[in-house]
Amino acid sequence: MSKKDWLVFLGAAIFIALFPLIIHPFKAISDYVDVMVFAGIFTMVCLGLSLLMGYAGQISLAQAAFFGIGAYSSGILTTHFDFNPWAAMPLGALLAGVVAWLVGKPTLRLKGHYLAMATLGFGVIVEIILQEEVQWTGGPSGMADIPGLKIAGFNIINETAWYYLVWTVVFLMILFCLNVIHSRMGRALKAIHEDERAAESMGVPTAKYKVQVFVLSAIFASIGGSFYTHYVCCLNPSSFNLMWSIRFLLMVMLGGIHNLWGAPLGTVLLTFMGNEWLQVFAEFDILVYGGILLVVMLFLPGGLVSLFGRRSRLDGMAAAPVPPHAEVPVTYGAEPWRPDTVNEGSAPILELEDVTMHFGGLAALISISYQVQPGLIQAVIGPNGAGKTTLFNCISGVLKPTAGKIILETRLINGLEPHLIANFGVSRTFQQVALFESMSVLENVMLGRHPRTRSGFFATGLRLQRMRREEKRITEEALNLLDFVGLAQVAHQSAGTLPFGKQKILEIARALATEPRLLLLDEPAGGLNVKETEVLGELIHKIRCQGITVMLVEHDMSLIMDISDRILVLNFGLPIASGTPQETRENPAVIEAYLGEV
Amino acid sequence: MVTGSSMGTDLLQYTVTGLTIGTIYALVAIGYDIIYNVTEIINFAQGEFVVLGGLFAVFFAVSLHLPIWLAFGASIAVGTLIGYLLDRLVIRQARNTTVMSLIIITLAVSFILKGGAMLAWGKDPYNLPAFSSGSPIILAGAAIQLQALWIFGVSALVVLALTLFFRRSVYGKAMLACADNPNAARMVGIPVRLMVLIAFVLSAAIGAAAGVLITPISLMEYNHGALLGLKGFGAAVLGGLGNFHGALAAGVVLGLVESYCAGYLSSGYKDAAALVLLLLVLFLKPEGLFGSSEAAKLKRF
Repeated sequence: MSKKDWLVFLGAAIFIALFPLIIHPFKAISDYVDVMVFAGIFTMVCLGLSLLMGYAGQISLAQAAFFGIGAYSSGILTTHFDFNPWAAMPLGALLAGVVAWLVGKPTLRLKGHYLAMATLGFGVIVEIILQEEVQWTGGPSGMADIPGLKIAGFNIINETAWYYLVWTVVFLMILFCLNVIHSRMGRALKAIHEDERAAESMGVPTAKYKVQVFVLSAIFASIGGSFYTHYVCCLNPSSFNLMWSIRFLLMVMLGGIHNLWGAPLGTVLLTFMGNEWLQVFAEFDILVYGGILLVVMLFLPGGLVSLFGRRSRLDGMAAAPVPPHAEVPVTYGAEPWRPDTVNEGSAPILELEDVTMHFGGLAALISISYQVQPGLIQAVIGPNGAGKTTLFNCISGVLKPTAGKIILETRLINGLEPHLIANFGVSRTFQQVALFESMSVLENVMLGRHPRTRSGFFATGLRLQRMRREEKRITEEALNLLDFVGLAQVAHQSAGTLPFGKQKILEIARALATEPRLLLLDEPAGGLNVKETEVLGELIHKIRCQGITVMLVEHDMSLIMDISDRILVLNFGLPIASGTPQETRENPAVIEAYLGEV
Repeated sequence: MVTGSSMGTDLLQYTVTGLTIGTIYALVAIGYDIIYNVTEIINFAQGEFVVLGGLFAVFFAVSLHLPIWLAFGASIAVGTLIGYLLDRLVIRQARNTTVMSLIIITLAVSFILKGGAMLAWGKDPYNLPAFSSGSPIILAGAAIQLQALWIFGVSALVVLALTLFFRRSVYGKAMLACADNPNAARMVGIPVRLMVLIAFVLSAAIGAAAGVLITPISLMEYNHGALLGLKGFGAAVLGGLGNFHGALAAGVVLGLVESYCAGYLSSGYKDAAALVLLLLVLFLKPEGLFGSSEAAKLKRF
């Protein structure tokens, strides 16, 4: 966690600890402790939702249903089966987690917001079940006489005791979430939110993480539900309906989804509104909640936390001024360029067999067969629309080829998810720079280490030693890599504030961080000036000297002719020529494709 | 004692009921489709259009004693106005935002409309006289209400008109172009904002019409919007988002499933049946029973 987060955490904890003492002298608001118990319980429900919306970019409209699953699990297990409340709680959480997995797994694999609709439907189903299964849930009239909580044999009856119990759990949950956010998992989630395709290509299993966040949010909500049950000791299905899901959504939106502290802030405020200040509206509160939600969405999309302080990207800029561009002599590395050292007989690193890609009726790639030799700089050129980027998309898994085989060393990779292909050692950059702009330069490169690191939600949330060691190691590795590409001095700047040329270099650095054996560069020199292109050429050569095979799509012919060992020429999806730069330059078919019939 | 012939009659009766309500779901689904086709937004307030259509028809026909056809027209006019205001006052304010925000915004609007309906009409269910008086047609023992015939007729007309509009007219094609690529559409001179406005107005009007049509059969209440909207969305997904004929077929399927479930299994779970179907489709065949998976891949939602 950053220092700022610790300060906020400490401040919030002290405030919460002192709150009952502060309001104690004021008899008129003595019931605020009770309201705060509810606020704490609701915060448990909202924390996971905040992660889901702010980081995974997905909406759940069934948060009240998961809250209900926890509440009713505890209620039913303790009254019908005489369970100890503390034993019922994890069982409810387990059930909620499993159900969330079942709902999330199929829907989150799809792009877009199917989860919103699926959870909306699921929430209503839970509501109906709670109403209909009268022998277990008591139906519309609900359950009563549910036992309270005991700790070491003592009943917790006192409101203040409940207050401290609930908020201790809340702070533990917040700590867990903050740990996750400031770790490789947090970086991956931010990356998913900013650019899912790029995250996936850097080895982040996006669908899997979204499901995990969704499951986590359901588990937190369920635990909240268990506490709720034992606090109020009676249940009514109307506390778990769609209206409540929307209220939880509103709590999170009001506080702000881009900062975890938005969740507790919005929840406390809205709980006070609901339990105290808006009682005058009675059942018309629905109108008020709709109105607040609309106003927040239109005029304060960042929520209340966005009112405090600026975004950190500007801080980063002030802290690390950009030094003047160093003059770099253009030499292609220590090793002289020797294409003759390439052993033509060695096994190809990448083999394409009749790779074909159709978009509806349009054939973008027609039966391409080609072998890329290891250790080479392999250029792919061709006029616009020749299918160069489509070929890269097929290799990196962004597209699934209609037919044919793509073999990486000995492994068949076509049709695999991009993150798996990244794991196997293929990394790429994009034609249009796809950096995670709000993350720092260093974080972008650290994200690239994702497929080479392992700590998951559990390890990062609990800050296990394994995770701390790993984090330290990848920070160092990322800094080394930034040094290698010449961006070390801007490491802490936001990636979005870099000049364009450096963004392109950073994208290459991020791709290198995944330790690729095959690096795909899609128009790395596009938009660069002559000077920057020279630096780029040098960098590509340095990369190749590390033993990494480089494939690049490029329009800058002088760069191509300078650095490539082999060139593959595509035209209208068909390979029309291949060979050394010299051979390609003289090939009549290539000349015709570029200049028309002469 | 259940005889063979009464079982057959029951089946027929459930089928008629299912077809009737299913057609309404289809109309709601078409409302989703129109807005989706142009903006790729899922409008969560679609169900409230239906409720308001029904409640305004009650207001015009019962409270103001207007003839039913005039009340029908007036309700659709009000629906049109609501769609217009929704676009002008809300959607346009939030142009540069994410799909997630737009979904939440339409959710907020649906709560405001619902709250407004509760404020104006209270919590009572309202009835509306049928469009044409007369006793139900008895067909092999099953009763077909005349209102059902109205529902079938109007829906067929709507689907036909929309198909012609989107396939043949310049406006319809322009609206489809906006969904595909708003920037490109703007560059070739299509006024995207106008197209979005038309979509919301059209969608609200169709929703309102569905509301007026169904009220004589199943009554209307301020809080019916969520379920109507959800089932309509189910039909839209089932039929392949954006596909009108798919929506029509899927709406009918959904209506039948619900009606059979209510008849043979449990009336308490009849709403769940449609929702379970929605979930199954989302899980197993998200491009819809009648949509193509290839086209679905190109869409953002």
